Amino acid sequence: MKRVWLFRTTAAIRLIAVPLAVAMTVLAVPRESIAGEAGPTALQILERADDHWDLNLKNSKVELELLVYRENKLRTTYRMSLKYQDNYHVLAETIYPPRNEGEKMLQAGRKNFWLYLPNINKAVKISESNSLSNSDFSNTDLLSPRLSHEYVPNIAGTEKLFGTEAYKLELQAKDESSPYAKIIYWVRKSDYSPLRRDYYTFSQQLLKRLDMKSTSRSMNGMPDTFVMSSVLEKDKKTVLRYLSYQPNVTYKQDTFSSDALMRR
Amino acid sequence: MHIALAVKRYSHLVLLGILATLPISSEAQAEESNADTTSAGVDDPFGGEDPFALIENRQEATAPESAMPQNGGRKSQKRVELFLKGFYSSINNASRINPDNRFQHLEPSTGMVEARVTYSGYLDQQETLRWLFKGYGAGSSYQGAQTSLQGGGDVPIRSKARIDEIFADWKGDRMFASMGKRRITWGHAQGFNPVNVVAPPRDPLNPEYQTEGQPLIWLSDSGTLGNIDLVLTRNYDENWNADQNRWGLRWGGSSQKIDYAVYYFDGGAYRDGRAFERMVGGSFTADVIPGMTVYGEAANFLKNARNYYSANFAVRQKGGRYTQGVIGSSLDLGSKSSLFVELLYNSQGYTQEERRNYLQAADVRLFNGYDPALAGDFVPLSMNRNYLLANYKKEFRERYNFNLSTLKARDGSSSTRAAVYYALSDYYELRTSYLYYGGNKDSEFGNNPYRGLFEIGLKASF
Repeated sequence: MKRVWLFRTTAAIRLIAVPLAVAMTVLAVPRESIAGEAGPTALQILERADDHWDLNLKNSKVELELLVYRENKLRTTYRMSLKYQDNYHVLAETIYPPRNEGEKMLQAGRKNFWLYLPNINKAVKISESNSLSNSDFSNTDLLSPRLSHEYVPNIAGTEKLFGTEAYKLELQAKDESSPYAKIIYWVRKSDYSPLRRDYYTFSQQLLKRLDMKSTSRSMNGMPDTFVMSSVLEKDKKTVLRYLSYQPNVTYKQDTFSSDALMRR
Repeated sequence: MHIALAVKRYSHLVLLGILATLPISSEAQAEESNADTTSAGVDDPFGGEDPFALIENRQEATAPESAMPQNGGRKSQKRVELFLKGFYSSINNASRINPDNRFQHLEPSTGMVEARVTYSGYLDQQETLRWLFKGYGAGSSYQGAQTSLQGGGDVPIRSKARIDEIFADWKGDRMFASMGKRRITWGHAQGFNPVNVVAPPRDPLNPEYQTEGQPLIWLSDSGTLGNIDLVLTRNYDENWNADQNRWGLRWGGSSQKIDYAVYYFDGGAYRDGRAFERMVGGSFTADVIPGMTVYGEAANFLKNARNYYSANFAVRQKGGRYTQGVIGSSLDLGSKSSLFVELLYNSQGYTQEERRNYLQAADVRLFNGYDPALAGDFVPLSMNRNYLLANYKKEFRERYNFNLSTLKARDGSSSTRAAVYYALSDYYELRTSYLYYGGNKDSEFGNNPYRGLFEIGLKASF
């Protein structure tokens, strides 16, 4: 009798423990690693984050301000007008300070960047890594926000950033023509809003960090304030702020052609 | 006891289940190990500080509101630039075209004031119709002040006022039309532009001096076949007198990595019956590797009307065609610095023997007095057939700009210009530069009327 009871108890524990262990193990596996689960893939997260920025800018006109800080003091202010057709067609014109007024930066294709200098009335082809108005931003940081075209993402985990849950993505360049070898990208879990990017060189050195946040409801949750910090020079920062936003703007066909730069 | 044994026996399964709930993915590890990466501090190369603290109390715009374009049609734009300049030069008394400064009477020091005013605006909300005026005025402390490299100078008289550009243009969806005096720049090279024949050529070491445009009508169409420009103008002199038509055609196209264009420029014969120097040319610019661009230009001109000198000082013309070509590359060196290098070939230039003949003719013909025809044959960048140009730019600490250019001729002579600009504020810039001509008495730059030219100035922009 005692043996029977003992057998039943042992069997009961086995019956509970085995499924419990299996269930708990299954539950602990990250959702995105299970095929067919509802969790987003790394690419989906990246695409959603790109959409936050890119889709809102598509066919828009924005005015922005670049504040260049050194030793935590404002050194220079630039103000620019940005005509944005899509990810690869953007025209930026400097409107302040007066000594740089009229300078234009054009992206006329994926890797096709031009600088127009009004004092000599000339457009010259430039590299995408050229700095934008002598700030810590390169042309591609500002003019090409869609990272999914250039990088392959992987989920490196989740972290808390600015008090909110965020996906941590590791983006590897598809080829060496990309301006950075690797980008660590934090994207807010709740709405896929971009929060932070750490940029790495091809020698795997951390180069700079971009922090982003949205402060204005009028821009559909799009990040409108950006802080670029240099890892090499600790006291060096550039703040970029969108000051105004005009959606649904239709541009003339040749607005984003290098030949048109000298016309207007 | 048996219960205890049973629990012990299957405890590894329970333990496995419990362990499984603990973070085994990097995702969960990150969640548990780091409450908030913004406060990481120790391993954070950025010190973990709040990046937005810089601007927490700065909600207002930092540039004047007047700098903001208005939505739906820009208001008119005004721009004024004032330059106060001082020059101190070392005069080359050994120059064989201005021996002992006998003809040009250059003075070692000069003061100069320059003003450039630009005013433009749109006539409609859609920004289809635009007008622009650009005026230039200058006054110097003595007549004959010369400020630019090639002895030509932009202000050859004591004071000068001119309209650099005045035009109206219309922009449709594909079409563009402009009428008036304006500057058109053709070509893809950065220093020398052989195909740039519509507006006066520029000094490759200091291109900002040449700003005057050309009265013209410009029609353009952009479509799937590329961009086509038609330019109609006349042989205007400085008083806008003209008696011959000039016309040009440019077709430009582009692909992902290369931009290219072909050019044609022609016109009616000169008053003395000479045919116009019809030009046919092409240019391109292409990305090679990230940060490196190569470009080239070539132009072939119908007739060479230049004077060449024989050993007995007789003047003759070669006639026939001549060609100018440029090949170059620009490099982004990182850290806000860049470099470009260009090689110019000019078949109109003098050979070593032709240059020697010219200079010997100058020794003889300038002995007794000034000979403007001979002096006019000292054509900058045509006293040799090959030139090498290198330019290095570097910006540092947001306020300093450094620019070093050197131009080396086939005869071994060279011209080098170093410039430093310092932005005192958003409106004022301090500028200083030094230009040096080196070479022997048989060379092009060795015979420049100046040996060195130091310039200091203040630029104000409003």
